[in-house]
Amino acid sequence: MKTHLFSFWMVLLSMNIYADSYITLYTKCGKTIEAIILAEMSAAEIAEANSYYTSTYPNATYLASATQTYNCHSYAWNMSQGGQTCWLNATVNSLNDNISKYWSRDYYSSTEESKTQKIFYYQSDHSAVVSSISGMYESKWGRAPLMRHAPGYGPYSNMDKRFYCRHDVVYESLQCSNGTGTTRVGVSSTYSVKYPGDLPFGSYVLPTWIVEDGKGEDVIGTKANVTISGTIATISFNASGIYEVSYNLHLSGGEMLASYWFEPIVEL
Amino acid sequence: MKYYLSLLFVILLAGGLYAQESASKHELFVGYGFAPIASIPEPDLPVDVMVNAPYSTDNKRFSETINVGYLFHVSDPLAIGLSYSHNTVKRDVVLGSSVPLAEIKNTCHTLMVTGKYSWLRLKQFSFYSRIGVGIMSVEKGKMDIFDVSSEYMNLSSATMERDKCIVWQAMPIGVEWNFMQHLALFAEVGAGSAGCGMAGVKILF
Repeated sequence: MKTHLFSFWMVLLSMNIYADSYITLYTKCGKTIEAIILAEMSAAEIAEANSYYTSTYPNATYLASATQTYNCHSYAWNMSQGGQTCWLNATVNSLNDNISKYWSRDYYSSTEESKTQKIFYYQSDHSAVVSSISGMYESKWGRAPLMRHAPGYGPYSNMDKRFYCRHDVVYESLQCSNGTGTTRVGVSSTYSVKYPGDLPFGSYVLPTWIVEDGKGEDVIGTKANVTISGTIATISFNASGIYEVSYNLHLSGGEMLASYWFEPIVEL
Repeated sequence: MKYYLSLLFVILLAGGLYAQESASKHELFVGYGFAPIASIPEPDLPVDVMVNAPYSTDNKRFSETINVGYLFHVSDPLAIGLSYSHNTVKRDVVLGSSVPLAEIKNTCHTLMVTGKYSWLRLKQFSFYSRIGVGIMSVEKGKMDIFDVSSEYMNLSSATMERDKCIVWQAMPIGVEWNFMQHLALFAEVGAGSAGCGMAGVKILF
């Protein structure tokens, strides 16, 4: 009988979860993320969950109340960056297809444990952020409270299987077709990003090519004839000198994502 | 203390007088096994609906084993036979790193084919190695849910089922003391589902 009652409760719970409204979030680069606005649990459920999870995990620190309105993934990847309160499932169609947009050619990329800002527990369907307390993480445990805990401590299995992410501005050099960096007036050279398939992309990512002379003045159309094709620029210079060619990726808000540069020396 | 040492000496002496004149064909033994080890199947535990994570077991604790067996000597040093072991295993139910939320207790029955090879025979003592392989039947478990549990825990929905697994036993060193004509004490050390050590008594005939 208890089993049937529990199944009935689970069905009701599922109906409750999936009856709420779907919304679209965007990664920093503008990829779409599916999320859900959920109704809150009852006050009794919240009180019970707060009490239960703080008592059964004595080595974790309670930070915020249990709630059904957001989960671990939303807290780590969306809300900690100022996003709205919502529930975010890692998977929509295929395994982790929703959550992985945050680190797949986007604002975050993989890093090592000591430099991590955000953590994805890839065998536990869980996410966390690094705490201001050294060596600790903070994460929302499903509908249970937001807790501060050691990296491997929590209600999930396989919490030692972790994927680490952080945001870093990429500074790298461009590749030049003449190799040495020294060219002559009137000779065309191509400048390109070495691994264009790794560049962040999305509707908020704005690429720009810049060619400046030694004084930092824009010379496109004056001292430099430039033909742009995506991540490749073909440039011939009309005057000798030292120039700086750069390919930058910004967010539409102005924040730099990546900068690739080269300093060609142009001789007569 | 002196009394006990004297008594032991007398028993050893008496054992010598009753030394066997020819090897026995059959052995029946009863023994007590210490610290058994075995991998047993995980029970089918539900998922916690609050955090969407499965319950699991931790801190597996086997009881000592009661063992009985029969060995037939196919040759003087080599004997083969069957053994049966009975013990229980207790496991804590946890949710990730949680404190124990419940305890599952299972009764285990193990039937093993076993082989024994005697590699040194003295007048009253013989030294041997024994190995075995068999099947452990893990009876349907009984779960005791602790007071810490909340009404939202769905552990009570767990369905305990009977299960089976393959087990083994390796006792590289065993010693047998024939202190009477048809009776011996034995002790073995090694590892396996019947224990990392076993001691008991044998009837030889």
